Amino acid sequence: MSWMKSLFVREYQLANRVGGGALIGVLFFLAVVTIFPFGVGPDMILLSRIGAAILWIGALLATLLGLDRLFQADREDGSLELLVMSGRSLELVVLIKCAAHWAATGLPLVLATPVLSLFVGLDFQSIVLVTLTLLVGAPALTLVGAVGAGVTVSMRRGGVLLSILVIPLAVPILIFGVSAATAGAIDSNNFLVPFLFLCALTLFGLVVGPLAAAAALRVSGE
Amino acid sequence: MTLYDLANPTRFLKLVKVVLPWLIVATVAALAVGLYFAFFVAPEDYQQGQTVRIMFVHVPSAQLALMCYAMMALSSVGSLVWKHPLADVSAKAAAPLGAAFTFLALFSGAVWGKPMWGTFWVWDARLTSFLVLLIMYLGIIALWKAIEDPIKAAKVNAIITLVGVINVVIIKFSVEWWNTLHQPPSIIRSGGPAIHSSILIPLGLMALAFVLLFVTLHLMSMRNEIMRRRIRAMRMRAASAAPAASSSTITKAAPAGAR
Amino acid sequence: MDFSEFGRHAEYVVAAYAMAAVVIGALIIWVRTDKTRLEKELQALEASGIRRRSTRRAGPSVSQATSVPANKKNEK
Repeated sequence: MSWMKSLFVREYQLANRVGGGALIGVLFFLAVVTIFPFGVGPDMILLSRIGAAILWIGALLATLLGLDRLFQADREDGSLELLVMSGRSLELVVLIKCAAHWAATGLPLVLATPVLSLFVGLDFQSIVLVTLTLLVGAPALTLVGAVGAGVTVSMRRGGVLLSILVIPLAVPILIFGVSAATAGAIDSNNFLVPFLFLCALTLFGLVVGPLAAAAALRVSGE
Repeated sequence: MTLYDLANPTRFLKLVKVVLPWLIVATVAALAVGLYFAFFVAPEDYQQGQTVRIMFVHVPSAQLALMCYAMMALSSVGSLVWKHPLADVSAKAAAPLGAAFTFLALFSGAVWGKPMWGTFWVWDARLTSFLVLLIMYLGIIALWKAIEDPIKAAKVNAIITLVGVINVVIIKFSVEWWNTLHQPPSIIRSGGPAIHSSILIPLGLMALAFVLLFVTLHLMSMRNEIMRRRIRAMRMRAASAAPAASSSTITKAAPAGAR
Repeated sequence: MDFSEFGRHAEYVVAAYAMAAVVIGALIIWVRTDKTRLEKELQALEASGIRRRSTRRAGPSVSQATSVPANKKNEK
C-alpha cells in the first residue's frame, strides 16, 4: 500500500510543480469562460441558459490541456520504464497517476466552478448541480483522456492528436453531464436519470481507462 | 485451405490475385443492375419525389461506414490477441475506406435533408453520431500516420479502435437520448413510414454492390500495404547490411534510428 | 433517361450521385496509383540486389510481412 501512497504523492507534487500545475488549469478555465460572453453577447438570460454547457466545455478543454504530459514526462526521464518493469500492476499505476492528475488539475477546476458560475448568471440551484456533475464527471474525462495520453505517449507533438482522439470519446460524458446540470433550469429535464448515467460512465472509465492506457504504454515501452 | 494458410501474406497475395478479377466483375455488374433499378424501375415516392433516389446512395454508404468499423474492430482483436501482421494490414487498409464512406453517408444525408427538411444539417441523432464516427476515423488515420513503426502503430491503433467500438455504442445511445430531449422526434423518419418492395429491391442491389466494392477496395489496399511493408523491411535490411564490416552493431542501431 | 421529367430537386439527386462517383473514383485512383508506385519501388529495390530474407533462404517462406518484427526480436 505504501508504494501506492508514495507514487500518488510524487505524481501530485510533480503535477503541481511542472508548468504551474493547478493554477494554470484554472486560469485556462477562467479564460475560456470569459471568452464566451464576448462571442454570444452579454445577455444574462441567454448566458444563464447555456452557462452549464460553457462550464462543462471549459472544464473539458482545461482537462485536455494538461493530459499530453501525463505519461510523456515520465517516458522522457525514464521513470515510465521503471514503472513498467517494477512488477507492479501497470493498470494500478495508471489509475494512481490519473487520481493524482485529477487531484492536481481536476479538483481545482471543480472548486473554481461555483465562482465562475456567477459570471454566466447561474442561480443557486444550477451552481450546485454544475459543481456536483463536474465533481462526478471530471474523473471520467481524465480517465478517457488517459487512453489518449497512453496512445500518443511516444509522439513529440501528440497534444492536438490526443484532443482529436479523446473528444469523440468525451461526447457521452458531455451529453449526460450537461443534461444533469441543466435539470434545474429546464423543467422537462429529469436530474436523476442523466446523473446516474454520468456516474455509470465514470465507473466505466475507471475500468476501461487504466486497462487501455496500460496496454498502450506497454506497446510503446517495447 | 485453412485460416492459417490465408493468414500467410504470400498465400494471401496469391489468393487476392485469383479472386480480384471476379470481384471486380461482380462489383461492376451489381452496380450496373443496382443503378438501373434505382433510376428506371424504382418509382418516385409520392411524398419525396425524385429525392427518394438519394436513398440508394445514402443507405449503402451508411451501412458500409458501420461495417467498416466492425471490420477494423475485428482486425484489431486479431492484431492484439494473435499479433498477426495481416490483421494490422487489414485494419490500416480499412480506415481510409471507412472515412470515405462515412463522408459519403453524411454528404448524401445532407443533400437529402435540404429538400426534405429545408436545411442541409439537423442535429439529428443519426447524422450526429455519423459526424462523431467521421472524426474517429480521421483521428485513427492521423494516428496511423503519426507512428513510424508499423507494428507499434498497429497495436496502438487496435487499442483506440476497440475503446472506440465500445464508445460508438454509447455515443449512439446517448446521442439518441440527447436528441429526444432537445427536439420533437416527429420531423425525422428517413425512408418514410414503410418501405415498399419496389424500393427495397434496388436498395438491396445497391447495398450488395457497395459491399462488393468495399471488399474489392479493401483487398487492393491491403495488397498495397503488404508491399509497403516489404519495401520498408528491405530498406532496413539494406541499411543494416550496407557496411559489411560491423553489421551486427548497425542492425541494432537501425530500428532505434528509425523510430 | 429523360431529364425533362426528372422533376423538382433533381440537383440534389445529381449532387448526391456525383459526389459518390467522385469519392469512389478518387479511392480507386488512389489505390491504383499507390500500387504502381509501390511496384516500381519494389522492382527498383530488387534490381539493386536487395532481397527479402525469406527469398534467400531455401524452402517455403514462413512469412514476409513479419520480417520486421522478426528482426527486432532477434536484436533484443
